[in-house]
Amino acid sequence: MKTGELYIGISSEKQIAEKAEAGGVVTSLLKFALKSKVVDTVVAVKKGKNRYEGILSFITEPEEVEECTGSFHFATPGIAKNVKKYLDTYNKKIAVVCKSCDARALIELAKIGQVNIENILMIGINCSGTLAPVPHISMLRESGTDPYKLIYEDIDGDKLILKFDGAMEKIFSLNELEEKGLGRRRNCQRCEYPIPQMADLACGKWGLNGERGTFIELCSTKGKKLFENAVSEEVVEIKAASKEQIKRRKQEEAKKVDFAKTRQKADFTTPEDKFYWLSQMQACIKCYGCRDVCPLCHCKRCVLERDLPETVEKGVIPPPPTFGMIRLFHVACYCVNCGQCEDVCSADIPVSALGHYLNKNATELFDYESGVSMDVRLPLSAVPEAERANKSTELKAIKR
Amino acid sequence: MLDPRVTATVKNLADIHLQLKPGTDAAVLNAMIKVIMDEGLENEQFIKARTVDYEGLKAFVSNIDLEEVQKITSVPLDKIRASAAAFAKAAKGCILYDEGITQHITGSDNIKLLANLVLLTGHIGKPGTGVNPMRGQISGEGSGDMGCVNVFYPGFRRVNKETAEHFQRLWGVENLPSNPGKTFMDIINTCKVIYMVGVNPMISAPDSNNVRKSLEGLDFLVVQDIFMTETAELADVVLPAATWVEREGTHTGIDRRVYKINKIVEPPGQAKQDWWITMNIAKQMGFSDKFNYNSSKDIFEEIRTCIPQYAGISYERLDKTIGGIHWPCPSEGHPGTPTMFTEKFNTPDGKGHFQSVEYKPPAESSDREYPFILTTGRVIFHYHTGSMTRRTDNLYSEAPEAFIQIHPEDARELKISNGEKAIVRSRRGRLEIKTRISPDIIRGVVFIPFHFGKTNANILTNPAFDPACKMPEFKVCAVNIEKGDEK
Repeated sequence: MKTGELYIGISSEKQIAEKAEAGGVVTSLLKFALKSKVVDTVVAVKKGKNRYEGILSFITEPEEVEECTGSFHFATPGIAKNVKKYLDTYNKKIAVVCKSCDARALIELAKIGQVNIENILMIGINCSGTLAPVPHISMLRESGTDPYKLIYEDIDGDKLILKFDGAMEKIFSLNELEEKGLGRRRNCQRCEYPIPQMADLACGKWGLNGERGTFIELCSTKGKKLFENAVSEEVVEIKAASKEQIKRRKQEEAKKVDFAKTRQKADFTTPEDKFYWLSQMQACIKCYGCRDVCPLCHCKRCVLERDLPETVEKGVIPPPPTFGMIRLFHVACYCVNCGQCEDVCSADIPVSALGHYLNKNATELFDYESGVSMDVRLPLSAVPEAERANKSTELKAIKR
Repeated sequence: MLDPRVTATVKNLADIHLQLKPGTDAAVLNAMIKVIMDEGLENEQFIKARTVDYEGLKAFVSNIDLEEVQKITSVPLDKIRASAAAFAKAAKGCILYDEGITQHITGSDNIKLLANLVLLTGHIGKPGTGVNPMRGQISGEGSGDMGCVNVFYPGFRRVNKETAEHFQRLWGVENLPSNPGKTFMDIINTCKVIYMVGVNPMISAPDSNNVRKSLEGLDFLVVQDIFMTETAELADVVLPAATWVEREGTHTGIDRRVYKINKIVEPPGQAKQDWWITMNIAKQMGFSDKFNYNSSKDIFEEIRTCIPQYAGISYERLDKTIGGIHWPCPSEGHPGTPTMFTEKFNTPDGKGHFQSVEYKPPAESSDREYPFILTTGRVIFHYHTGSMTRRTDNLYSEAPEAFIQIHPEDARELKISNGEKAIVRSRRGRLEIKTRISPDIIRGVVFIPFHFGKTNANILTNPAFDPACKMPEFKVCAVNIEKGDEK
């Protein structure tokens, strides 16, 4: 096998293949990784009391992995942050089931030594976006449907498909929902990385057109090795992906990237009122939620806890607008648009939009794309030759 | 927004800010009622179907002089007109209030006027409307439901002979009180033995110097609390209690939503759950047969038999129902009642009664000797008497001490600059406190947050109270201010 190759797979374990949403390849790969001691711990999301409750779990028993089967679109735990906080990847090997934002955050964290990428096996999952649970629970309730009878949800193109206990199904147009402020989280709508090629494996079902199984792309040597071994140990059954299937997968990806670009345009346009962001920050109550959940925040002593008049002044609400913005400036180069900051903001400030916007600016200025590869060095710590040769004081983007 | 200060909430949310002189709420509200009636903005259909005494209110309100209201309150008339019109014309009008309007000698009068407003405009009995107290505690509603109020037994049954007999039968006891008990300040001032649970009157009660005298003069004081508060320091016995993450139970929120909390960690040291402590005191008194619970669930099952509004709620249902269940919930199958008064009110005739209420000024006004009005309140970093928040590093570092908020013009006349110490005196006491100069407060009015032990705002406040419910007038008293000594 070679990196870059694409396969279609299904779990060889019959019960898993039948029970799983799409054939159980990811479940079987994770079990295999634990059993064969490729990793000590699997990081994945277990279903809580219902489809809205996803519990980030650190699993060491292979059988326990089966409790994580399925994609929970309404559950968005901060995976990268919790891996950094609670697992010692310098001494333990882990496998993480991740969306692109999770994988990208882990890569950025690895660049600054916060996690050890050598010991992290990233099983990437295609992602059409996730949704905030509470507004949709309300929406369903108001339309007379018991939201807690939800047994399955999926996104297929523009369709949000909800299946309920009792063989009831409801289909919504994401476009229509998103016009009303529902639907996917706003950062997800702006996301241009639907297929996590920065992970070790990228798994999903786009291109299969309803055929049971999982599309697997071997993105790295580490990923290829695991997959090769899993296949030779007969943990998964595979066949090569056809040209047609690969084409359809690429088309699906392109559609989503195009949509993301239009959302970015809408969210990043500077409004007429140039003090838009300053007035948004007026709502801040210094709950530190954004700083606490941001996966890229890593300083041992945080400047936001200091008492600096007119920038992060203590005892004043709202704090100076710089309070909310400093973090975004500090992590501008790293920001992966995970949206966690905006999710937790007590004052509903759209901070993720500002963070993403700053990151795009940094990307242009430094020709730097965050979270796509360990080989893309951090712009503020790695100086390419071309930049060193620049004797003028003019700040212009230098191709890296 | 009705507030003497420009608060963070005003800055973020207010379309109209009625920046009134403290204690003049009734004047503003009566004016709003008059405006709604004068401009024909009342909800005629609702008034006809669901209220009585409209004519009485109309007659009363016709005598109100709006120019006089502007003078008394300092609120421009056009703002009063605009808010009245906006509220009346809204598709859904909702009133959210709390201690700013109740901690006055006319607190209950003020609430009657809020009730008038919603009856006049029909904004009650529908989702997103009504007169809604925000309450100070997470389960303030719950405590009231359980009967921790001097005039009620559990479930809002009035204290009288009939109710006493009902509970005597239910609990198999004798001699339950048929007369209302004492209110908070009466307990502090007249009782000789006090058993306090989760309350810190040394900081939260008005006129702290006298509170100290009363508490130090007690024959016996027991304080049950999670930390060694300023009041616990005076106790003969301190009973350490477990905090909310260290116990299982329910909270009932301001929307009558009952929800379950679960134990996450063990309490430290000897701290125990509140119910366990009270139960064991009862056992020591010889009532083991009546106080024989093994868990908070046992107690909840008893609550269901005592309080019909809770009858259909159970721990099992709460564990399965995300977001809790709104009472009244009379039976297991009942989904709960998110909105009350949809068809009728809790009055004998089921109708809403308009009440005419005259404006009365606060107990203490400013005068030559005490030319400033002090109003007390909160800052966002602290909770109540600060027993928890002053022990939380991040919050404490934001606001380690009290301050007196003064208007820049007043500060200039007093020759006090920002951050300087000031000496503030009232008829009750004296305080040395740092100044914070701010245009967010009106001239002649000053503000001190009450969360602090060393600089305790309640040393200055007036224990005068509302005759109907004995709520002290925390929000208005007269003070004088002078520059502090240079040290």
